[in-house]
Amino acid sequence: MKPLIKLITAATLPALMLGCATARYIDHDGRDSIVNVGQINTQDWIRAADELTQSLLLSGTINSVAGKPKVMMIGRIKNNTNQHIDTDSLMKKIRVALNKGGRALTTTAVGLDGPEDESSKAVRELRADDEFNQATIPGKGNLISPDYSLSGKIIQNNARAKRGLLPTIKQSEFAFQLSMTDLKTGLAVWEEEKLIVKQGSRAAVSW
Amino acid sequence: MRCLCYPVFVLLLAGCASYVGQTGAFRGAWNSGSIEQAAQLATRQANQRSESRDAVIWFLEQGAALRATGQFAASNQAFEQAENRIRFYDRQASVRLSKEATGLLTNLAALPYEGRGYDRVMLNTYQALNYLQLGQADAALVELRQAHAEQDAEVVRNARRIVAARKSAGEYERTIRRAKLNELQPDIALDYGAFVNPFTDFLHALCLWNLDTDDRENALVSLRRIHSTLGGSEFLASEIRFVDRLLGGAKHSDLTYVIFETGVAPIRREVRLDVPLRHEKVRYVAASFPRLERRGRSAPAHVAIGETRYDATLICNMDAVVGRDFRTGLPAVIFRTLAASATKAAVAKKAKEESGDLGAIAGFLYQAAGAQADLRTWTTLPKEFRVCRVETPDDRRLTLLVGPQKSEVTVNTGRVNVVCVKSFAPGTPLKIQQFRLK
Repeated sequence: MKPLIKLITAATLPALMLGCATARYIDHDGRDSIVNVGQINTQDWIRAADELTQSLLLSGTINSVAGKPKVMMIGRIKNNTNQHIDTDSLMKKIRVALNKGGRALTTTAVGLDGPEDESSKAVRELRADDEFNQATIPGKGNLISPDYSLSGKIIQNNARAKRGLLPTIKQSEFAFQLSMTDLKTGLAVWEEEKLIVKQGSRAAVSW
Repeated sequence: MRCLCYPVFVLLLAGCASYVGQTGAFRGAWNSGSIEQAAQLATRQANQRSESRDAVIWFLEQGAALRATGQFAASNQAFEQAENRIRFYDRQASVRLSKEATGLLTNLAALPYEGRGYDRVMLNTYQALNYLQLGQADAALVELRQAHAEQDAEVVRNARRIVAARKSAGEYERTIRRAKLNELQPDIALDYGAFVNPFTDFLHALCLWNLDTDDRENALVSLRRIHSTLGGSEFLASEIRFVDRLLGGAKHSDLTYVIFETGVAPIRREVRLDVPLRHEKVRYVAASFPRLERRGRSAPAHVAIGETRYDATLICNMDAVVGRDFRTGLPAVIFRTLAASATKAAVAKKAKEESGDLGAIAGFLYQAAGAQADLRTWTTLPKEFRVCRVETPDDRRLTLLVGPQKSEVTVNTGRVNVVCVKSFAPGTPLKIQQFRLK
């Protein structure tokens, strides 16, 4: 009996191991995603963006008037974590949701450090160029100034604790804070904070 | 017949000149400021050794030398060749144990040079600087992101190296673990942490807030990290406040960042130690180890505008970076060296038993020739990186001072410019290069 068990184990174990090592596609927000305690993972961006968008939409702050969506610019999103992150991972998802819902459009022609997309400006520089049909070049006064700006901050707090002989437990708390400012009045008309707290001793898959 | 094999093997091993010997002429030219000659020597060596175990180290020397002469594209080609080789060795990591076995029979210098942790980070950093000189900002940012990733990846690689070295020690593993070789530990005045290079982080931060519109906030992450690593430097605190204001939309006048690269990084010297092993087959071994040797002294650097002098702040002490890397990798070196020495001693003993006096002589020669420490190290790296930020004066003229050396530069037009100053031996002129960031 024992040799048989050994044989079966020897035959199946490599196959199981290979199965684990093979690359595969997974749902980006599903339970198979890898979870790192000290990092913001894809599913964290998705969760934070979803919850913040829901909060913004439910607040009624940016109801379109007569079907005309409001115009929003993206302000500064401070990264107060200890890792390099692309804050677009958060902002893009919020922008897409607002855009698809018809509540707000984002201007790419205005930004704190100049326009996000230089094309609006570049095309206007063709006004003096005879090679271009001037009727196809946007006239003056067409660009739309934003009604609101969206700004915020991402904060990270770390903690660790040792429980007896168990491995050290690490905890990371990520706070996603956003504010929407009415640019006419300078007042913050909506503010929200979403917390994501993760705990563990090492990276794991979330099941 | 078997006895004849020993001397032949010994002769093959003896043919391996140490890296310190190989680089004598090159280092002489470099340290005296004859950078054109140094670049030629490095290029010749890199071409001759492009398929050898020393290829990576010579491509690194070549890249640094060509960069100093202002041949930025050629420098990046050399660095790319080094990088390709390093990646090739990384892909071979799964067969590392067989390479360890080669090391056991010969010496560690006989194994391919795969690039140390700080080599990989500096390789990407110099490539980034070259791309900035060539006006290719996006490519520079890719290199800096890679350098950032290398710092983390090297921690994992080093752990793997130690595990592999322990495994390769085989029957000697337990006895070697007891050996204490404190005399090899480098004296590290500053500890930045494993594989951390604050200069690379600083350059990354500088590029982020000047070049990349999406990632600008990450500049502050890098600056805060260096500030904490360097123990709260006033310059960095002021830089954090300054960049924070700029990211909030504040305007600034024309700025010049002056980066001083001064002195030369440490090299490795061989030290021979008798180590008691207390193993039943081998009681003690005489083995050669590398030991770090610092070169030259720290040189203060300043920027003068008219009568006003601005001190450059020490951002990265490469002695500390190399020393920390050396210390982190030392357990693997000790395991590999002692295991190799013990294996060779056992082979020599067997030769004596089987072939009498002739075998004993061959065994002795085999041990002596094979006992060579790995002294390969990137010799053209500087001792220190210092940085100074000044508002560019109206006439755009700056006076640059490194110790007794002095030179003048007229900064190109631009909102934010970077001037790179490299100093060699006292009395040789400073090498000045500059590029515009914004």
